[in-house]
Amino acid sequence: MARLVEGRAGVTDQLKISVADYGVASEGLLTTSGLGSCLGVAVYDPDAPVAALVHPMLPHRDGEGSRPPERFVDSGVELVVEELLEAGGDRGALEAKITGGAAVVDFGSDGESIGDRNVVAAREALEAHDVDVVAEEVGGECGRTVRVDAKTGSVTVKRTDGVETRL
Amino acid sequence: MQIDIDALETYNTLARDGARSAADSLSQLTGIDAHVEVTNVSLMALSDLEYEYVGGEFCGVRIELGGALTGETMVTFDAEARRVIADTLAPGGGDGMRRSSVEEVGNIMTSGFIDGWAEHLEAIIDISPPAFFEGSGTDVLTAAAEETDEQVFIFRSRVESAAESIEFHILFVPERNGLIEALGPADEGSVSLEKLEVFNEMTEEGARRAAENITTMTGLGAELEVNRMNFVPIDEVPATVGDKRYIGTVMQYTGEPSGYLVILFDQPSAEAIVEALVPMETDGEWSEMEQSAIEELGNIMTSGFIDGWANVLESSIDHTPPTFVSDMGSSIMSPIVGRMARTQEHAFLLDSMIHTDGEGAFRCEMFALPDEAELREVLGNLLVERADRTRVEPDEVF
Repeated sequence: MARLVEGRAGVTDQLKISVADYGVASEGLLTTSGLGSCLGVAVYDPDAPVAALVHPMLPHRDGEGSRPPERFVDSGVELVVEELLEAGGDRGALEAKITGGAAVVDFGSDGESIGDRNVVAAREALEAHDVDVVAEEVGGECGRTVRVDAKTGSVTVKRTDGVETRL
Repeated sequence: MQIDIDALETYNTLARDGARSAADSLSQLTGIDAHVEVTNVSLMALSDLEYEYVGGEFCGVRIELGGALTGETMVTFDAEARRVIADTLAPGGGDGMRRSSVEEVGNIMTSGFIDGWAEHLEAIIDISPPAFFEGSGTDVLTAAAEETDEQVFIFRSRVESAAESIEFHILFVPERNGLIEALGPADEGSVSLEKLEVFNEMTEEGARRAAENITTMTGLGAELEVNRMNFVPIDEVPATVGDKRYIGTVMQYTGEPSGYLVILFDQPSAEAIVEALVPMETDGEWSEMEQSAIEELGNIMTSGFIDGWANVLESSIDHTPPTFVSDMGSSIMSPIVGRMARTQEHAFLLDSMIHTDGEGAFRCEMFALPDEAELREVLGNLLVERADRTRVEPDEVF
């Protein structure tokens, strides 16, 4: 996991989050790219201020303790909520924005896409932690690049079809 | 000779930790946000390293290793990375000062990279004084890549800075027998190195056939440029392919082993192919006819590629019709990797690059992702039941 809290600003003001990774920051930008079926879930407390971005790949960890929690939506959300509280966030003030979950590759008659299941899992996990989802930019067939402003929780989503959305 | 795959995983982790420590050193020294995008270990011909250094100016720092682990480690910067580092550390300085600043960064990074290894091996690794090098293209590799077809393991990390748009590489090329000795005695999780090599050669032959099929279909002369077998942590497969935009096809194959085959073209290459196959005016969007042309090419390449495996493995491998894709490479890989990550922590990513020459030239990258457990089993069976065939040159089989 990557951290951008007091002291590191000035060294670098941007943290890039890889697949199955997360970052916590009190200032600067948290970024991630290549979101296909994966999600970029931003959780933040704008009053603290502190923000987290997690880039999970699959919906449920299913009790497999040996597997990295950041890889899964349910355990990834739990992890970042805990990290935010530890970094000074207030549970009641946490808000979330969900991005990603596209079906970039059409696997045909293969049931629900991983992307759709990831989105459902994120809504459920955030609700379970009493975190309001205030915005979403999910689904479709395009990859996404996401930037989170750690101070404000403002999220910019750039899709590969050229559409840019501010959440 | 058996190679312990679990130990190779441990080594890959050491290389990644080393690269992170090197990247952190760079961040602390320069304020540049350095992020390790991917670390993998490849089984490849040393001479194939050349393609990464074609064109452009490079510089870097190289250290020779001896003792518990022999080989060499190098950090290479391209011209832009060199400029950014020198501008940051020696603003307004003369050439000598700028060079020293880059050299100093290289020295600190290489020693940061190697620190964890000695600790893990609980042994002493002798390190030569760091040597600065600079040059054009493949000149920088003269010490590392002698012309040889011998396959070696190469640990490679790609470090990027999003804010500065620069990237550079940290390479660790252990001496082959030294590495195998250091990896320790083989256990039941081990596979035959010879068999891995034969499989790599089979894949190369399959990719060559795919290239021939391109020629048959388009009339363009196509050649296989690079072939390597990467061993990558599953989460890092998308970053290995990168965020560049690609057009291509995804196929799923079933049999032993099962898996995915992804064929990707960059934008100008895809346009050149469509031009060669369906010469007509287009409006910039990928029409149905253009998509089918790409799919058809994917289909014929896949057949050549998969048949190669099936022949040697004496198994039946079928593949689904290709699906057209157009997106960031990493986004294309993410649903595929998501499916594979349910059952495996590492992926054998077989990566082949094909290029054509002349008018309408294009480049293409093929990524084959066989199911790890099934591949191990197939290789294991081959060793037991078809030991004689493992010594067969792929040329005789295809």
